[in-house]
Amino acid sequence: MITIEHLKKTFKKNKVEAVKDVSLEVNDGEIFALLGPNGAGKTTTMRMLSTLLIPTSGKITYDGKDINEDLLAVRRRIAFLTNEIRLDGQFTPDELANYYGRLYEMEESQIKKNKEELFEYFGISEFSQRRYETFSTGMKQKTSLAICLLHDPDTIIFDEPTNGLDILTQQLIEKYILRLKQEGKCIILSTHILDLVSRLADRVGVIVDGRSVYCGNVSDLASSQNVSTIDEAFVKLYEENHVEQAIITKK
Amino acid sequence: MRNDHVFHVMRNEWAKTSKTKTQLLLLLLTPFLTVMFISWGLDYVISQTSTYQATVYVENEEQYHTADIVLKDYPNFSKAIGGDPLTEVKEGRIDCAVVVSQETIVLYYDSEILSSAQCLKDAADLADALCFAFEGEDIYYEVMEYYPERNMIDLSSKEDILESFLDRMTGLIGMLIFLTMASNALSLSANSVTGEKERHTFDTLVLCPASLRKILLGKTLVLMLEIFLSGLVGVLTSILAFRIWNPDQFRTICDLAGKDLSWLPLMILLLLSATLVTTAIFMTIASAFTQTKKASLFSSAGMVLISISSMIPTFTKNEAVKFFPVANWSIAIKSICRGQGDLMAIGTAFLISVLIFALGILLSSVLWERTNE
Repeated sequence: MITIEHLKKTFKKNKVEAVKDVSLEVNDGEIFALLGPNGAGKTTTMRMLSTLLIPTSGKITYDGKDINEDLLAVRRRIAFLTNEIRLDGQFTPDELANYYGRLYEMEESQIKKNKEELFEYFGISEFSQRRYETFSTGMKQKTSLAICLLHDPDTIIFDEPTNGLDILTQQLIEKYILRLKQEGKCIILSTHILDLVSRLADRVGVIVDGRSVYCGNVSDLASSQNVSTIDEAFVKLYEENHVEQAIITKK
Repeated sequence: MRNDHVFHVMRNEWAKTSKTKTQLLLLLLTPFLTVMFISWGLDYVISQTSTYQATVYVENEEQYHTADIVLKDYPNFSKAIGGDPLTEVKEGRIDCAVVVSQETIVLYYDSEILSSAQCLKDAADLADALCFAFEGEDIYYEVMEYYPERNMIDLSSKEDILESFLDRMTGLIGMLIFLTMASNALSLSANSVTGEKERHTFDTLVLCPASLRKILLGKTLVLMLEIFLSGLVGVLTSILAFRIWNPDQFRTICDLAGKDLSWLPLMILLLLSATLVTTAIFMTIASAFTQTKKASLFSSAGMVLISISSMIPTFTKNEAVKFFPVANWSIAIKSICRGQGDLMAIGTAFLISVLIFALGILLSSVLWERTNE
């Protein structure tokens, strides 16, 4: 179980307050969707959850333990995938899997087993000896996903996992997300596709202007806002909580 | 080895270099071609400037004589002429001496006052230089006093010639070796650290349960190995170039320093010092930026800094220079070639470079964390 309490992140470099006050709870065995308009602070929140960014203030706990207590132990049990994350282009999926498997301190036999299983599922097997840089966007995303999941994490953080992918790859990834849920994994998903949220997610959190404005069941989202669809609920939450302001950033 | 993150990062980094054939080729070919070509060029220039046709006016015969001038560059000749020039030269009390024979005039001079590059392009320049060295027109008398009774006497010992040769060569060749080491370090560090951030591949690495310092250490050690290899190729090439274009000096060096292999650890220590300093500088710069363009721009400044540092002994005679890595290069090489390698000085420079390296690693990890903030 993951708990986020009053999370705040201010980037020192350009003094931008990307996350102002986010508090959420994510349970094991559920798919939690994080919603918000562009620039709301979803990616920053996810990067803090995945230990890539250090919060300015606030607390993140994994099963009651503060993330800062043992950062490396947290990294052993999480996976983070965004469509921005890339792998070294000159290596083949096979070489990448071996490398990252070793960095995750996995046994060679375990690496081999997980690699074969994931490559088979995502249809990478026949391309496992080809360089990553020669792959299409979809193949790259599938390879990244396979490498990220290689160490069998119990918490998986996806930042817009199906963005820019064709319908076949989208479905493949969606199916795998459901499979992970069935295995009891904790899945956090950030997306703009509300249809995907209603299909996959159990619970949802909405962030507007760096603040969490809703955290609850997907099925309750619409009724909680006295509207009929989650699209309408999302727009209503946005309109009620968004404060127009000039954002000046120093380049 | 299963949990050794540093080892795995190192193996991966080396695989990256070896997979990119152009990079590997550049790493090894750049120092080879640069040092080989410049050594040949230097040898050519020196051979062009060491023999001259000169016209000397012989007063009591009232006529001009033409002779070949052979230049011998001695660094420490002192002040005024007096007594027998040969003795004065031998004892180092005069700036310049001219020994004239039937066919040849041998000119010995202080390179701080007269430099071949500065004044001796033709016979007229030589006459001017001689006048300057002998403080006036007495030059003709001084020349004539030893003409034509004395035969040409070569005052220089093998060591003297070697000294002069090393003065000319070590500074420039050393700078070239550092330049190639630094240029390789520039592209490799930018690709290894800054490039990872730019390509968004570093996040995946950082997400692994390995500490940031271990990841950076693994990358740094491979960069160090690559820079060392580049420097080693440079040094080996310069030895080969000396063997080809300066066989006499090469033999003298072999006689003086090649009796045993005591020069080898000193040479490796010297190269390691330069490698550690270069690695520290370039890793620090690479870690501070998220764009390879910016990192390369600042690394170019680092490249100039390292190259200039290796030339410090040509600007100052301060003894303390021999204790500083990179700056000690030409002094240390000269002492090694003469078979008088100063372990104390080279060892101190190495310890200082280890300190610089440790500071560099520390600074790199702090800077990297900052760019991720």
